[in-house]
Amino acid sequence: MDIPYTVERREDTGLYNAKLGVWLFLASEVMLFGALFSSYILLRVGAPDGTWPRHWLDYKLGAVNTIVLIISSVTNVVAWANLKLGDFKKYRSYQAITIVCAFTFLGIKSNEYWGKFHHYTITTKAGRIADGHLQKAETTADKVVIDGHWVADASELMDPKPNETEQKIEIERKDIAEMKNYGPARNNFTGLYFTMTGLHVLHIIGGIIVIIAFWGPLSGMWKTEPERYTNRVEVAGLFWSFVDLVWLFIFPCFYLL
Amino acid sequence: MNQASEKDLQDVKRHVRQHLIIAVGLALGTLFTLWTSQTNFGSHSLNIAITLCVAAAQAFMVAGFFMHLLSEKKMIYCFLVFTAVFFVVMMAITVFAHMDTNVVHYQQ
Repeated sequence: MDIPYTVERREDTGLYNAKLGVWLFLASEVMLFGALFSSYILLRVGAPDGTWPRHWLDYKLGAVNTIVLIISSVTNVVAWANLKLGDFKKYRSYQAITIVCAFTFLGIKSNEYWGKFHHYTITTKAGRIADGHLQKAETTADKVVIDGHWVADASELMDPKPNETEQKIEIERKDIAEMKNYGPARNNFTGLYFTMTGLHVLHIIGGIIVIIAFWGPLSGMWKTEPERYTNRVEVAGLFWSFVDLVWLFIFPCFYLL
Repeated sequence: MNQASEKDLQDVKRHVRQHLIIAVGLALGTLFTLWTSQTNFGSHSLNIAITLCVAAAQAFMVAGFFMHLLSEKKMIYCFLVFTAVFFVVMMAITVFAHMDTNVVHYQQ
């Protein structure tokens, strides 16, 4: 059975079906991310003064990732434009840049996640608080070693000073009352950060899979049905630009404000 | 399809140039967002408002040019109007929830 309107436009909508479908899907995505942003707003404005963390994320890495996603969006659109002109070789070259950008984004993001999962706040039984990155190689069954600093008060952790001098801190395990990392369970901020960026990362992964599939294994369609293939690439590109658009809001909300 | 006319070629070249300009605009927008977030405008709320306005302008550029929304069919605009209405309602519920200060404290 042939799928109708994969190339020609329907008279009533003026669109081919896949394009109509992807816009409906993107509309549902707006509501999905919108619900999470509304949770963010509610939790953020409801947080008592001094309890919402600031400067917990490296804004430089976030900015680099923003630029990387912008570049990937441009190369994606330019790749599609080249398909429209019938230049398959150029399409593949530009789309290869998109794929490299996508993996760069994921690399930077996983580096950030790694940092957060290895960043600990340790409260000793004597009430002292140390904060820093776990040194796994030096940590043993008896002691924990972190690269960080001692904190006078827990509230200091909500807005850490930049350029805090780090030192190696060794704490005996028997002296530890609580050891908590900067993972999703730490507080509302990290919970929302991991949920929203995690969902965004899932979209990036989904996008890469589709783009790579069209770039490689499914590219044979270009020889048999070039217009349908071009439309598929356009639809994937719409999704990719949407993923970029969502990041443009995630970045300031979590990294800057 | 494979033999694009000269007009198509010029059209696409024009679009590519336009996309490159938009990309530069987006990159500058990102740098501007960084600057606004580091600058003290007197109140933190103003910083938030300005930063989110820049983000919205960037989102408009991505949707308008990269997703070709500025030259789309009426049907897609209809979908997006519905989406916008539901989105605004959802955000309004959030705002009303925050404004609802009618909390009753029961004595134990």
